[in-house]
Amino acid sequence: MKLYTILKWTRRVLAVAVIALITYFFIFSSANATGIWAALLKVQFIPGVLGITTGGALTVTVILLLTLLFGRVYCSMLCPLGIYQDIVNRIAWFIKSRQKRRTHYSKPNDGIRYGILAFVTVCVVFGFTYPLVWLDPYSLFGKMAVNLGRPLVAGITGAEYYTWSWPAFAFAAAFFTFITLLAAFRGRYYCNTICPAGTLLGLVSKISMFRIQVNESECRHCLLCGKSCKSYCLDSSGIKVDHSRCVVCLNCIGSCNTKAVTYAFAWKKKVAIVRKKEEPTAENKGRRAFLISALGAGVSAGAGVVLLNRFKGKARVKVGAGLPPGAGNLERLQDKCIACHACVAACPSHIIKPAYGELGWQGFLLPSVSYENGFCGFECQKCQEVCPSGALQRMSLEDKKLTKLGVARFTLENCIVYKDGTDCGACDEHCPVKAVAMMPREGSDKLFPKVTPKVCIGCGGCEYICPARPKAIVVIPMAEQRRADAPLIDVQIKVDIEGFGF
Amino acid sequence: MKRRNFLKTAFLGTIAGTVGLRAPRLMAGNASAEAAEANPAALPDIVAVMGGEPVDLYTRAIAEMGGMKQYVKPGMKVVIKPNIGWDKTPEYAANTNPDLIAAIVRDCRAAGAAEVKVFDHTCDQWKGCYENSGIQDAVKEAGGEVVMAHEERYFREVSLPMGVRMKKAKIHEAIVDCDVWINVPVLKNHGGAKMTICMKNYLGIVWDRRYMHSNDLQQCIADAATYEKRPVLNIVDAYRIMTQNGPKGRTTDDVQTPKAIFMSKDIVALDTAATQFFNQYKTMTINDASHIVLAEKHRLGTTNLSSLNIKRIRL
Repeated sequence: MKLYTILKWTRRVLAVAVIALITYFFIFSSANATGIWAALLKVQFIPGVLGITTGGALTVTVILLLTLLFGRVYCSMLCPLGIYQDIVNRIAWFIKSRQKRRTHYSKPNDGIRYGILAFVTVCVVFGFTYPLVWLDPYSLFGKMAVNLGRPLVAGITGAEYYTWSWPAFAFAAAFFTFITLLAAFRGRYYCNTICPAGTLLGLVSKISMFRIQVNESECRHCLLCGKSCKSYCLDSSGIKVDHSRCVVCLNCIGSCNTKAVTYAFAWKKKVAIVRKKEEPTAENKGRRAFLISALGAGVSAGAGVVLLNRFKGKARVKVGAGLPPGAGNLERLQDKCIACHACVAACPSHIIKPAYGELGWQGFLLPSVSYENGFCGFECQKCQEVCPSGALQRMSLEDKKLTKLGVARFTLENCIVYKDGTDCGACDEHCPVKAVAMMPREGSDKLFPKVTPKVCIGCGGCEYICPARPKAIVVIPMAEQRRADAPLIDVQIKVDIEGFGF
Repeated sequence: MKRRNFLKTAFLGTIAGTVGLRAPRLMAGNASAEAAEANPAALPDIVAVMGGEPVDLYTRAIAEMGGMKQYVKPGMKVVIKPNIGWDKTPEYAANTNPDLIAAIVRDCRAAGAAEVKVFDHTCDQWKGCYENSGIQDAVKEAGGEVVMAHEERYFREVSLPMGVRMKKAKIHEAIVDCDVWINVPVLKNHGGAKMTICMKNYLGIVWDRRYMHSNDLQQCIADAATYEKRPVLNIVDAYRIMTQNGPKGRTTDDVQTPKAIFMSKDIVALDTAATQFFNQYKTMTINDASHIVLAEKHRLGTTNLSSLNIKRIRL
């Protein structure tokens, strides 16, 4: 008993630490992209799957292995949305009457969950990741933390909030309401019915090495364990534990008066024997047929969406906003990004915002770049540091400094120097590569901006600071990031001077 | 704290304090500085020192200017305004030298300043600027305080009755509330204003720099400098200077290292002198950087250096 208490408290402490840290970083750290933050995001399952070729393989292997050994510990200790639901559920438990606290075994919604898993798998395998923007638990938590948490904190502290987005807020608020109510009244319903990560890990946890087990000889079928199960997966009347839905919270063990419920080594022959006993009853057959049809529906829906997406045509993509550095191109971003908005939170210059229409319908809520509030810091790659799926590919700072997000376009007629005949040079001042430089022009004694497009990296410094209305210099975003030419060399001979000159 | 420890600390503190106060003058070892302190009228209008490390240059120059006690009295709230505009390390000369800023903060503290605040309304993202310029750490270590200036709420509107194009501006609250402030720019060329020295450094105490850029930049710079609370001292950091691709610069190729410092109470005269100094590297006149001439029209100082008492020192 004591061991279980320790285990259970270990889970609680770890879970609370994980969610507290993740929430803290998402909400407060605009420029403190510390290693801990990045590390906490790197252990998330679905980002790991999507970034399997860019460092996610380790994450996926470790999580699958952990699940194979101990069950769905990822769901209870690492997934922020899972932990959030546990916390809501616990708070609701305190509020509810004794009667209402009780849960009970309920049948799994196999049709829905395997259908969704099949659908998502087909989509992801064929490079259509967008459904995960709406389904991945970690990124849903990120969207809530960034689009609800950050404006709230900004409102309280009186700081300015730069990355406000109505669609993202509406999405986050709607999901927040949904998940909070669901968790309060139905426990881990989301994790066991909708979440594709939960369903997939559930397939593994079915055969995990350590599992919750009910000892038939000691069980008095009092149902106490089932009443404390937030996954609704434990039935002591017929002694059924649905391990695919169990998130090893260990609540059942504490509730048992006869120590019949244990969390123990389960790779014994006994389990296999039990399985052999199962006979193909009519009910079983019906269930199997139903499952197959659900899978079929999922697969065909996935195939349909993928095909639809393919047939849309590969015409030159035009984007209404830029992509964060390291995204590569729009297609790659759509393949790898699940819109967790960690980059939105991390960008110290507040240039990354959730897109609504700028990146097409498949780009809804994906990170896009605009320069109303700042420009891309030349020395900065915070977004790449925090990105958990490698959607924003981490690169050397030297490479990042040559990554072209767009190209500056200058309109002489709008320029202050042309309109008013007075000095300005704000664009030149901000350009880190001197793709914009002040040059003399015939018929004027003033200096005018001149753009060298090949060198321009589209950081937006010029656009951001341009004081003219309409702006005389803007960055035209590109759907495909390229490598800019290295800045022009202008070596200067070092001189020693003798006098002061005055 | 035990009484013995307290007494020990108090005793050592007294010694440290006394030595600290004395250090600049001891190191300067210059009789004229001592004499000048007694008679402010005899102080030079401009002090220029060349050929040393930032702290040595400063120590000598401030001694010639009569010591920091001339400008900072005990209990005063002091602001030091360097140029921290860019996310660049010191060797790029995009920002004021951190060692120099640290020396000034220490000196102000030694002169009895109640608080010493340092800020800039940066161009690049502020955190990167504060950190990589080395100024944040230097100031903290020297006993000063770095304050933020990246949001409009830190700025308060003041009127500039003498202004031609800019009649009012939002100025950083630290400047508005302080007793004295010291202007410490780095010497650089500038694509728009042509030169960025003392007066151009005012863009970092003003919130809306776009207004200034779009309403005759040169005139607006001169107008900003008419703000009634003038810097009690201007110090130009010319240890490293940027002679091309300014004010941000790209590589260390843009930098020259004359190892100099200039000080004056007259902002126009100091900008004039610094421009003439710069002219030894790249052709530049105060007519190009016309805010200097415009400021003279505002009677903020003189561009006629021959009328001034200039002290030129080579270490």
